[in-house]
Amino acid sequence: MSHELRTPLNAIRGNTDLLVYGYYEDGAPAVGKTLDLLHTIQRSNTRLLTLINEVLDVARLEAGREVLQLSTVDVVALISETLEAQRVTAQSKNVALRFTIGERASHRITSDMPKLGKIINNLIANAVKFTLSGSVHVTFDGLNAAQWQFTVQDSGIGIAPDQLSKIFERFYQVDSSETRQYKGSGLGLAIVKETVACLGGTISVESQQKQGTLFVVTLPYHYADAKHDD
Amino acid sequence: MMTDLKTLRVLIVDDEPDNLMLLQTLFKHFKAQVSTAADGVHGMKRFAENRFDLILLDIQMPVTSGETILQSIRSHSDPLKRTVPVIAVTAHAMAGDRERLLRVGFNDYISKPIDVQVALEIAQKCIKVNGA
Repeated sequence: MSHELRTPLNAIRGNTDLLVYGYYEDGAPAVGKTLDLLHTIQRSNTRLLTLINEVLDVARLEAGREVLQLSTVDVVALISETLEAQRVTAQSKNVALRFTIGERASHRITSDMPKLGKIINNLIANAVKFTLSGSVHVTFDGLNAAQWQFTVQDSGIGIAPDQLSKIFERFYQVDSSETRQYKGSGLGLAIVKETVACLGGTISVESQQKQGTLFVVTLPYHYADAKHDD
Repeated sequence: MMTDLKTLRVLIVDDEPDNLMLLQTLFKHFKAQVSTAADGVHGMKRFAENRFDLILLDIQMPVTSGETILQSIRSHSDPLKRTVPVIAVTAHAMAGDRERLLRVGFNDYISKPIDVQVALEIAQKCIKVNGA
């Protein structure tokens, strides 16, 4: 399935590149309006590929077909890298990024690094996206002997109480109007929720409109423990 | 900036006509002599009958996979033929796939979606290393 979906997108991307660089028989690099139009094709194609990858992620997670690749993960480094990647976007709209490491945090964590990275990246990018000014505050701390917590608090637009239970649903957009300001597939939080569950954890959300939103992710220090407890 | 690939004899094996055409168009632009095959059987036939400086193999193909073709190439009786640089073209971009492909004897790999600039760089690197 994924192969069939990606193959035509790959052909679009590759052939657009050939036109841009003029890499065909007697070809010359594209210029002017032609180049602009080709860049539009490339951008649209990249967006479509991202969307298809997200849909495939959700389908795979829901089917329970994920195979975990466990290793020792440096969560502090993962969070720091994600914050660094968001810094330019945050600075451009005067959003301060803060990171607090709790005293009870043990840094020895066994988990699936790409999946954990996806959870951290999606939640932090979301917080920055929906905060027009103010701050995004990330924390990492131990909860008890077996679990740790990762929280993301923003001072953004917030979510109305009647919407709060729906935000983890697939394709759900709080603002689904034609004029909506925030773009996206509506799959980000669905992927986060399924991925957290896949890693043996839980996620909760609290929010006040125009005040901000707090996401709390609780995960086991060692994935094997979580499985054992079931 | 671009090395001329003139006189370079390239074999491309891919079951997707669009992918085949993409790589063929790219290498022909740089004046390489391109042979193509849409499956392993025809790919091996071309390999047996001709001498190539570079081979690009799609990994995921029905009946005969790129890895199987590579095994046949690497076990050929003629040392000149079996040491030809072979590049894997693959959508398997998972961690560890690169290491596995290099371990089984590919010289390098190009991941899909193909970035044509990256594909050119990898092709040139493989030819240079091999001293062609």
